[in-house]
Amino acid sequence: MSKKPSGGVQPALHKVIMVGSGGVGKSALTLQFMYDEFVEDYEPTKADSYRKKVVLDGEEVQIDILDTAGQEDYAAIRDNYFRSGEGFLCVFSITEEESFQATQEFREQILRVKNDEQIPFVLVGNKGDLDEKRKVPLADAQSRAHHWQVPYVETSAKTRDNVDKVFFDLMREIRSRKMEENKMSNGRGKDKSKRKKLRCALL
Amino acid sequence: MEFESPDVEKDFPGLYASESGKKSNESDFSDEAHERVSKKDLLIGKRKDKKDSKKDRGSPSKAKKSKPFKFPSKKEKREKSREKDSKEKDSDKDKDKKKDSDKEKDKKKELKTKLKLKERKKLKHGEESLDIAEEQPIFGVALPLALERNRCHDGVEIPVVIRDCINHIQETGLCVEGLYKVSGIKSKVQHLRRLYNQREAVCLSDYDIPVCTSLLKLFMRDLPEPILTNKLVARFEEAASLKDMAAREAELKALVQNLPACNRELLGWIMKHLSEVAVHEKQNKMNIQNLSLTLSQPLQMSQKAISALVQHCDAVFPDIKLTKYIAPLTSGSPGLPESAEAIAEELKKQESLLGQIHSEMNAGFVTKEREELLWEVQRMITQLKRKLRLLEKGLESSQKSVGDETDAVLPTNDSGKSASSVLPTTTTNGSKSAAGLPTKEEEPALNTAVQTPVSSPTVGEPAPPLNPAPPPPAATKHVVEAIIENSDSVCSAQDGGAVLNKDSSTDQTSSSSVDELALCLETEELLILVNQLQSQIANEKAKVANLRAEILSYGGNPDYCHFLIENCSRDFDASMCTDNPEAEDGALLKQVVAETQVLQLQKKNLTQTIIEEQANCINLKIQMKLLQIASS
Ligand SMILES: Nc1nc2c(ncn2[C@@H]2O[C@H](COP(=O)(O)OP(=O)(O)O)[C@@H](O)[C@H]2O)c(=O)[nH]1
Ligand SMILES: [Mg+2]
Repeated sequence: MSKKPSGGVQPALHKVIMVGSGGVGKSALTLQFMYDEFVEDYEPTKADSYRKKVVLDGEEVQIDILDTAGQEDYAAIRDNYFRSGEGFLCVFSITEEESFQATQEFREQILRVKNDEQIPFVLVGNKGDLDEKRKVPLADAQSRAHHWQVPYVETSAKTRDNVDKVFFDLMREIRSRKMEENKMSNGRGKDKSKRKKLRCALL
Repeated sequence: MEFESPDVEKDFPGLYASESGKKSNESDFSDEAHERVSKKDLLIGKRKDKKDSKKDRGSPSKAKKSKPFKFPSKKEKREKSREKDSKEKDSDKDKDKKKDSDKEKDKKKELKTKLKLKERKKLKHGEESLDIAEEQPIFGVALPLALERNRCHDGVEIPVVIRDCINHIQETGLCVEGLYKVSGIKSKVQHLRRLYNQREAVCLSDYDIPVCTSLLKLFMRDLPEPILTNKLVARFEEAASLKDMAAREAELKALVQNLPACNRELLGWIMKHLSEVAVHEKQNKMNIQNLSLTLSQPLQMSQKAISALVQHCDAVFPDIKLTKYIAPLTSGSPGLPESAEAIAEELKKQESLLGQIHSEMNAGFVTKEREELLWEVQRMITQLKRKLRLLEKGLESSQKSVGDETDAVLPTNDSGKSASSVLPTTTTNGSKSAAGLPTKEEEPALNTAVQTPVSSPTVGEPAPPLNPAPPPPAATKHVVEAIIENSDSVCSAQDGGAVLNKDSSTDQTSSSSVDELALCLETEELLILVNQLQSQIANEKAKVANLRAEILSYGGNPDYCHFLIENCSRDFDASMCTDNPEAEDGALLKQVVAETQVLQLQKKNLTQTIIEEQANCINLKIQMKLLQIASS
């Protein structure tokens, strides 16, 4: 049962946030990924958070998933979550045109809070199993993703198609983003900037 | 009892000189100064705190108490529309200049905060460091603000700091001589104030009782407005002077109703607590007179008012009961509550905590720690909700269709993670937590035991695809997950890899129908076990209820039994109270405590053995059935 010894160090933790309109399958994707379960009945989420240990390219890491509401009512608290997210799965349903339009809005919100065009982000077209009811042409989704310079993946929370893929792809992006940041700020950039900040506060 | 001369209101002898020098309006300034200093200290680090608290041990605080603290059962709901009430009344008090200036200061701070917030948004995430202790302290602000910032999450509307103090004193301090008169070490009191202002977790029971009493006094003295309010304080004084007991009581009762809800609640808590203190005057040497003398200045009311309020507290505050505060669970807590009611109660607390975190963050206090906490609390809520939902659904979910399951079991196309991984692991966890004993050591034993039948090559030839009807595999998972919720999802994920390997190797050696059959049998057995355990739990609960009733009938408090035991084993030598016959016989007590501990240990071991045996039984039963099927 024992996994590779991580040398007593806490495994890396990647924070993923699910965004998208209500009913597109954010919770379904999350639950499928977390517990291999698919829930038929729709139960609006307020916000839920999950943690799971996974092996990412041979390295044991933890993923924190925050499954959000997607409704306007919770906009006040939304920013608090968005701010702490390191990567975003922006989900729409391929059977619902409006949900695809809404991704634009979500993207903007995220960029506003994170202020970072490079933020790890995957555009996810869910309910791929309902291809006969497709309302969002593949090409449209792909061109939007291309425009944003992000990957586009179609999933099905029902059949588990590509479910792992979107989470793992996003984690890889987050990981390489973190590595880049560390390099840029000479190894321990985060700590350093924090210390500097504290000193400023003192003055 | 008679309460003498009325005119001594402002006549405070130097009995408590160490602390009482400051007038309340001075304390605002000293406040700021303290915060300046405190920041430096904070930078030096929190480790110091631990040291501090260690040093605190072994002083009078650990004095034996004679009686368990009477905390009647919680669930005392006093939902009154505190907010608007009190806030409106606040704004009425315009005459009070200090308040005005306070408000302006607050507004300025707010502005400043907003500016910083804007700046911050351009900064990179995680670098924010607005100092909440400086911008939104708990000490020295109007009571509604203090309450808002320092909420008890169980619905009791008094600041946590006061609740903690009263709690600790009630538990271990009632017999401390000179309670409330003896001052605590000043630096420690200041340190605690800083921790509360900073929203750090505080374990007040690590501190001496005098430190607590001083902290409580400090909080009360620092309130910009007397707890009796500027508007009503004079009328309270009048009422307290009434000679006729009945008239006095009636008048006080009426006046208290006019207080803002949060003032009333806090006042009631303090007076009920002081009345408990006075009950122990033989030990603590603090009768009502002494108490009111000591507390007159910090509470910003006359001795007579204190005496009268304490004396009439039961009539004046009929709905206030001193209940122990149990803070919201954290990720470090041993496990989630079991019963639906307990879960619902915990959920409320967590939601309240979550709301507080959000409002702190919305006010601009965004730190890595707070973000961490936000996700953690959210996680706790999710787990609680899941557990509650699954408890509610009960085991009916066995009607789940198989279709979903086969889909879900499709192997994944990505690394390190298996779609079909969860089953055996969760099974383990299921029986574990159903037994209500989430000890780590049980896991390996059970795990291997339960897994064996699946991978064991006992079944040579492919068995007929006999499918014992009721619980299809999908159900297994749901049932099982209904019970595992308090176990960390981490372990299932971690074990996933190992299980996957095993599964696939089985797939290669024997047909998948055998696999399925084994799983079905296992499910059956586990379902039976779950039922058994649940009925056992129900039995135990009934017994507990009976015992609690019995304890109550002896005049004890069941909620505090464990405090008694703990305290006995920890510091029964420090018994200062003479009215505790057992404490006098220290040797006997020691022996009993030791025996209890040994028995507890034995019990634990036995329970563990039982669990292991149960796992073995299941294992054997499955093998038997498989053999039966194979041979038929
Ligand atoms: N057919 C199909 N239904 C889905 C899929 N994902 C979600 N659903 C259904 O869509 C509804 C809404 O899903 P939910 O996860 O609650 O959406 P959320 O509001 O984005 O969290 C539920 O009834 C799900 O069963 C999918 O991939 N395929
Ligand atoms: Mg949802």
